[in-house]
This record gives sequence, structure tokens and C-alpha cells, in this order.
Amino acid sequence: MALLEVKELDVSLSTAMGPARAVRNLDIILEKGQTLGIVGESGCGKSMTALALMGLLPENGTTSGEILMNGEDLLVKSEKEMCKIRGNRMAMIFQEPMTSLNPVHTVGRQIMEPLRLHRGLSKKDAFTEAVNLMERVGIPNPSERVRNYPHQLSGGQRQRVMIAIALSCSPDILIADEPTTALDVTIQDQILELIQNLVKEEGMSLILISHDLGVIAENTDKVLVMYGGTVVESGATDQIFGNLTHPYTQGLFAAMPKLGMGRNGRLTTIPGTVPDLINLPTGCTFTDRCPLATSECRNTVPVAFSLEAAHKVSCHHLDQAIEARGEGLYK
Amino acid sequence: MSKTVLKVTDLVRHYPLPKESLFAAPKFVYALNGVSFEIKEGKSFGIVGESGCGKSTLARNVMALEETDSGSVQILGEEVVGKSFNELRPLRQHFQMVFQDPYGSLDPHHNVGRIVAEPLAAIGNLPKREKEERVAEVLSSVGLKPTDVGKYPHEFSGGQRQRIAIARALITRPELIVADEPVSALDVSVQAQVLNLLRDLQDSFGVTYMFISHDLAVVEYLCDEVAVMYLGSIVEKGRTEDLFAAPAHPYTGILLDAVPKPAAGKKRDRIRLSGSVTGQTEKRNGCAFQDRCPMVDDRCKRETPMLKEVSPDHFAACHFSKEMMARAASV
Amino acid sequence: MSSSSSQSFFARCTRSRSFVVGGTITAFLLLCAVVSLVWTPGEVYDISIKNRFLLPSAEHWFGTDLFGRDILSLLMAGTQNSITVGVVAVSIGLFAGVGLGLIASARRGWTEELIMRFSDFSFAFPAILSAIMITAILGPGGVNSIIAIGIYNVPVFARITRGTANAIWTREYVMAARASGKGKFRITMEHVLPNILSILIVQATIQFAIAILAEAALSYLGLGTQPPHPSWGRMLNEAQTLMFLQPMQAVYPGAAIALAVFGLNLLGDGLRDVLDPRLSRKR
Repeated sequence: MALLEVKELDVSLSTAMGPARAVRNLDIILEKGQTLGIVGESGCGKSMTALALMGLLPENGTTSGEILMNGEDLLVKSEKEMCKIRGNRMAMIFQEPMTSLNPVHTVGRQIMEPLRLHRGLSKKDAFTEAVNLMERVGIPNPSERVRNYPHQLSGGQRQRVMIAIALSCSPDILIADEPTTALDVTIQDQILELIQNLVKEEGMSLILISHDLGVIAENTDKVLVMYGGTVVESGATDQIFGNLTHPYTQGLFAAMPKLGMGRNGRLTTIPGTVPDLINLPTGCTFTDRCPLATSECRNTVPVAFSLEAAHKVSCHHLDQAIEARGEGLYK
Repeated sequence: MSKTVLKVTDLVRHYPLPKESLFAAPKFVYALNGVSFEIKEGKSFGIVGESGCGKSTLARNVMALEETDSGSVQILGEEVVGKSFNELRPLRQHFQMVFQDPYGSLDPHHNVGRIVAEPLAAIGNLPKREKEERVAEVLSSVGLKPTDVGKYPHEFSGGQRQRIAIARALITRPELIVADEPVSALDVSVQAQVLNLLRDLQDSFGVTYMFISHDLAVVEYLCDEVAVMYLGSIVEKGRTEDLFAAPAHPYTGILLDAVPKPAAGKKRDRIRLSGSVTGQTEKRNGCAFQDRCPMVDDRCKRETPMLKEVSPDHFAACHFSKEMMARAASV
Repeated sequence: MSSSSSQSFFARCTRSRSFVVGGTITAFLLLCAVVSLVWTPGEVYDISIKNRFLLPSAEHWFGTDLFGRDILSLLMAGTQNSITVGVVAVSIGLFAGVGLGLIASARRGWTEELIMRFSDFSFAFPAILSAIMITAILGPGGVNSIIAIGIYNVPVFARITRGTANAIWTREYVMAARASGKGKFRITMEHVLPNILSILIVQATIQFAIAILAEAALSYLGLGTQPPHPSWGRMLNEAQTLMFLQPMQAVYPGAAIALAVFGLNLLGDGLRDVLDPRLSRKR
């Protein structure tokens, strides 16, 4: 049995304009110790997926499907039961470390909180443990820093504190939603290395969410590429980056400026903008921007087709997409 | 030899910090410590560096949006520093700016026509018809419809908003556009559209860019020349291809290494930078990068390295630039 | 999305319950004031001692007061007075306060210090106390009480204007306007003021309610509207001595003041929802 198994997850948000279908028909299988990347642009549903897993959807959100953790369905759990799971068996770190820390409490107190709540440590033990954790996440002078307030730390250090909090109850799954987007590249490099090392040492599973193909390629075993609330391509990271197949994945990769490509080439662009989740096409969500789209794409949802082993692509025109690899779909 | 559009000489800007007490010695943030460079007509000059390196301060000083402490900024041979706001007004049609945040840089209460026409205030009273014609012309050159003039910013997506901001910068037909992180808030597929648009506009109007970014791949794609900044000084500058192929300053090398690469696979050996940017509020001897530099030596702590030519048109401020370049050549 | 911006304004208005209720109460009071200009059920200035303290009847719905005047007529005519006080006092505060606040925010430096310290200074006095002080200097009377309340409003608006305007000055679109060569005055008029207007309107409704209350209090103390002009505060004042003999005399003007203040506060709350597009989008 997989550690985490998500089956046909749907997330819908009710808005003034009608329901926004943030996530549709999502399947995830995550084994112990595995790292899974979810990549996509804004509005693709990657953050909503993370919030749904944590049971932290906004009030106007509704879910259907199953989220099985060790066989238990999290979606049927009460808020009280979810509180025991959150932070304890499943922890999350967010994009903006400034706003996810409480500015009026010391960082030490914020690390101690889950230790006392979930692990029932005494105040003294929790304090010692907090200092240990800060040392583990690489904050210099932890015994002094523990008394600092968030604004006294740099962005990278604040993110380390967030990781220390996430780590405090040795969760089985760590969900990192754009953990380095607000940071500089050199700091991003340090934080990603830290997460990698901790995941390995603790034997945790990691779900890493990012818009950056480079971050995903270097830090994950498996990848889901999401677009407009659905998974368009999934598989082992090497498979996907070795054989980009779905027209969207190909376009996304081609649109990204890459070091060493120089100024002679021209970036490929995907025409149009990300879809409006309220008025999605009935068929494939990428129809309006896809160079291969036909009326079939507009009307029927494509099923995931296995290319090799676990590499799955949801596209009606798979053969054409495979043929177009390398030479560029978007001319 | 083509003419020089922007010439910055020894620009200094120190921000006073709020005093801790009435009698405390005044403290400063040393944002710019003598920055010099020049940009030729029709070229793109990139400025890269991490947050806090002074690149946005440089943009505001070049745009004469704040007081400069000392140094000179010449646009088309006209001195900008020391001129009053009213004296500068007629000059402003020659240099315009594009901001980072497409949501914050457009007034939500103004329609597109009014936003785009705003810089025409610098030219004086144009007849209404000419204004409308110019707005329509500039909107179509950035790929928007002239009929969009009556719409408001919230009716557009992030990428389209950035097009509006670019149209606003173009309307006075400026020689120089200062772009401060113009694509970093955009999704990858939309970012490529805007980057290509900036290139096309340069081809058709011959406009010169001073392009500020933290993303090295974006700078490589767009810029002829690049300067790397660290703690308010330029540590390396030169032609983009030279500098990226053989960085002569360790900081540039580390920045280049830190960029995650989507095709590289998981294992990548590199020097990781430890710590984060410190020392913005102190003045001291030696190299600004000494705390984080892997090559640091006693000499670096005593002597401040000066920017010197290491190969034709390639400048670096490091005592070990020869070694750095030799290393790059041997790989 | 694009076609909905004008129609959604009304949709937002009707969706906000406090806007609907507050607006209805305010409109009702306005109607009373307008009607009372041309018609009241009884005479407002006619004193007839033999008709004093009549109980409510078909002729006098709310009965009569100690001078035999029709209470309903007095209340209706008092609405005029309250609305005049509110409009004039809020206008004084709005023009002077917003002006000072905008100048402080545009100029910064010592100008801002001076304006803000001055408003701190006037804030240090309780509102009623400063109004009493001003009427004591200028002498009691309707106009003077309005001026007193108006002056009290100036620092209130100056503070809120300066605070919100400072936030607007840091926006990138203001930077863009400066890069276009626009001066501080033009930026204030074109960018800053439109973007803080909704907050000022909401504050104005609240100050309006406070002004009505303050006028009532001043009149109650005998410093506001002078007899024989009708005012809710004076009605309360006159009823006070009869508290145990004729308790209902105090209830009517008291209820009128409460209703006006309640209505205006609700309207302010509702306007906040209606005018702030960010709040309405979430609903």
C-alpha cells in the first residue's frame, strides 16, 4: 500500500461568477521516501491540490474523490481529526516565509508550539528540541537565534525556520509549495539542498510544488505537469525531461529561457493565456492554445495514455505530438 | 561608433537609517558605492544581482526619481543629476520606465487610454486627436487592440497588463527604457511572449534597454552586455557571451551555477554559496564579497579590488580573476 | 467580466444588507426633512399652553410637548436641523482635513510633522470639550455649534487622509506618474485622491452620525440651537426636567437620534462593502 494515494480528486471553489473547477480528476501515488514534483503555471491547480491534501481549502471549496493516507481517507475526517494529522503526519511549507510566521512571537516559540501540541513535550524539553531543530536546518548560533523575532532574520533563514517547524514532529509527508520562489538563486540553492538532505535523512516523502522546471528537474523522482486543473503529463522525472511529449509540456519547456542558449535563437511562445477556471472547455483544457487542437479536443476529455512504464500523457493527438518533439510545435 | 545613450559615472547613493537614539551616530545603507557604465544606442544592457545589491536603487537614480548623493547620470549627453523636477520634465520623454509588478504599476481607477497617455504630460499640450492616434498606434505595436482604451486594468491578465505598461513607456518614443524586473512576475509561457515583444520593439524602434533582472537566463536571452552587482558595486561587466562563458569573478560563477537547469538531471557538482547578503550598513576594508567567497585570501580582506579589464571589454573586480578565467577555460 | 462592471455596482449595492437598511433609514430621514419644509402635521412655532402634554391621538400622533407643540412636527423639523449640521460640519472637516492630509502626504518632511502634530494636539481634547470651548469663545448658537463640530472633524479627516494617501504614494503607478514628469499636485489629484475616495466617503458617513450626536449634545447643554428653533438635542434638554412626570417626552427625540446614528453607521458599513472591489469579489 502506498503512503499516499489520491483517487479522482476534484476541488471546486464557489465564486460570484459560478463554480471554479480548480482541480479535476487528479490521481497521485506517493511511496514512502519518494519525491514528487507538481509543476505548472498560475491557476493550474497545484496549490489547491496541496491545500486539499492538508484539508486547508478555503471556505468556499468543496472536494470529491479520495485522499488515502496509509489507507485512511482524509476527506471524511472531521476537522478535529485533521488537526492531529496536520503538522504531525503531514506538514507544509509555504512560499512567503514572512507572512507564514507570526511577527509578534519569537521563532523559538513558534517552533516549540507543535512540539508541545503534538509531541506533548514540557516547556523545557521543547525549548531544547527547538534549538536542536534550528541547528539541523542550518541556522547559525541557534541558541541565540531562538529568541529572535521573524523580522530579525533574513528571508532564507525565515524559510529555514519554517522548515524546522514542519520538521518538528517528523511528518511522513512534507509538502513544499513554491518554497524558494521568493528567494534569491543562491539562497534557493541552499534551501533546496537542505530539503533534499532532510528528506533523505528522515525518510520522508516530499511533494514539491513549483512553476520552475529547473527546480523540479533537479529535485524530484516523479513529476505531474498540471494545466487548467488537470494533469496533462506524468511520469518519472528523467522520462519526462528526456521525452517531453504533451504539447503543453513541450511549449512550456521551449518558452523558458535557458542558460547557454545565447541570443541567436528565439523563444517559442504559447499563444494566449492560462484558462479561466470558470469557463473551461468541455474537452481538453489546453484546446484554445494548442497547435494540434481539433474539434475532438474541444468536446472530449482525453484519457491518460501510457507511453512507457509510468510515463502517461493525456492528449488526443499523441502521435503528432511525439513526432513534433524537438523540431518545435509552435512555429 | 554609435552614440552613447546612457552614461553613468561614479554614482553613489546612501540611505540614512532611522536613528536608534537621538545621540547615536547616523547609520546608512550603502546602496550604491560608485557605479559606472555606459550603454550605446540600440543595445540592451543587463544588470543582475540578488536582492539588496542596489539594482533597483540604480534604476530609480537613473530615472531621476530620487535624490542622488554624488556622481553623474547623462542621458543623450544631458546631465540628469542635480536638475530640479521641473527642469527634468522636458527631458523625460527621452527615458521611460517599465516596472516589475503589472498589478501595482497601473492605477486601477484609470482606463487604459489614460494610463498609456500619461507620459505625454512631459511633452506638453498635444492636440487630442494626435494623443488618441499615438495611443492607438502604441497599443497595436504591443499587440493590444486600439479598442481596449476604454477598459480598466482589472479586465486584463498579468501579461496583458505588462503590455499596457510597455505601451505607456513607448508612447513618448523614448531612446532609453529602464525595465526593472519586467517579466519576473509573469508565468513562463507569458514571460516568453513579453521577452519576444521587447526584442521586436527594439528591432523596430531602435530603443535602448537598461534591463534589470535577477534571472540570468532572461538576461542572456535579451542583453548584449551585462553587469553583475554585489553590495552596491559592479563586480563584473562585459559582453554577455564572454561573461557567461568565462566568468572572471567568483560571484558570477556561483550565480551561474546556482540556476537550476531543467535538463541537467539530479546530480550536479557545484560550489554552493553559504550565508546571505550582509554588510549593507557597514563600510569596511577589502572586497565586499569576502565573507562568502570560496577563494578568499588575506589580500581580499586588506585591499579592495578595483574593476579592471581582464580581456577586451571584459571587466572584473577580483584579485583572482586570472585564476577564475583560467579555470573556466580548462573545463 | 468586462460588461459586468457597471451592472455589478447595483448588484453589489443590493447584496449588501447593511447598505440597503442604512440607505433606507437615511433616505427616510432626508424625506422627513424635505417634507417638513413645506408641510408638518402641526405648527412648529405655535405655543398653546392649554394643549400641553396631550397624549397621542389622531390629531397629534406622538402627543404634544410642554408648550403644546406637536411632537411629530418638531421631530420632522428637527431632522432639517440635524442634516444641516451634519452636512456643513462634515464638509468643513472634509475640505480642510482632506486638504491638509493630502498636503502632508505629498510634501512629507517638516510640513507633515507640523500638520500631524497639530492634529495630535487637537485630538488630545475630548470632542465635546473642544466644542464647548469653541462655543464658549464664539458664543452659543446654531451656526457656532456647527463650526465647532466642523473644526473637530478636521484632524479626523487629516489623519485618515494622510495615512491612506501615504500608502498610495508608495505604489508603482505613482512612481510611473513621476517618471512621466507629473508634479505632486497632479499626482495627488489624478492618482492619490481617486484611490482613497471610497475610504473618505465611508468615514464621512460615520462623522455625519457623530456630528448629529454632537449637535444634540451641545443643544442639550444649551450651547447649540437656540429656542424657538426645533432641534432633537433641545427637545431632550426640555424633556429632561420632566423625566419622571412625562417620560415619553424624552423617548421620542432620543429614538430619533438613535435611528439617525444607527442608519448612518449601517450606511457607512454598507458603503465599505460596495465601494471596495476586493471585498465584493470574495462574496
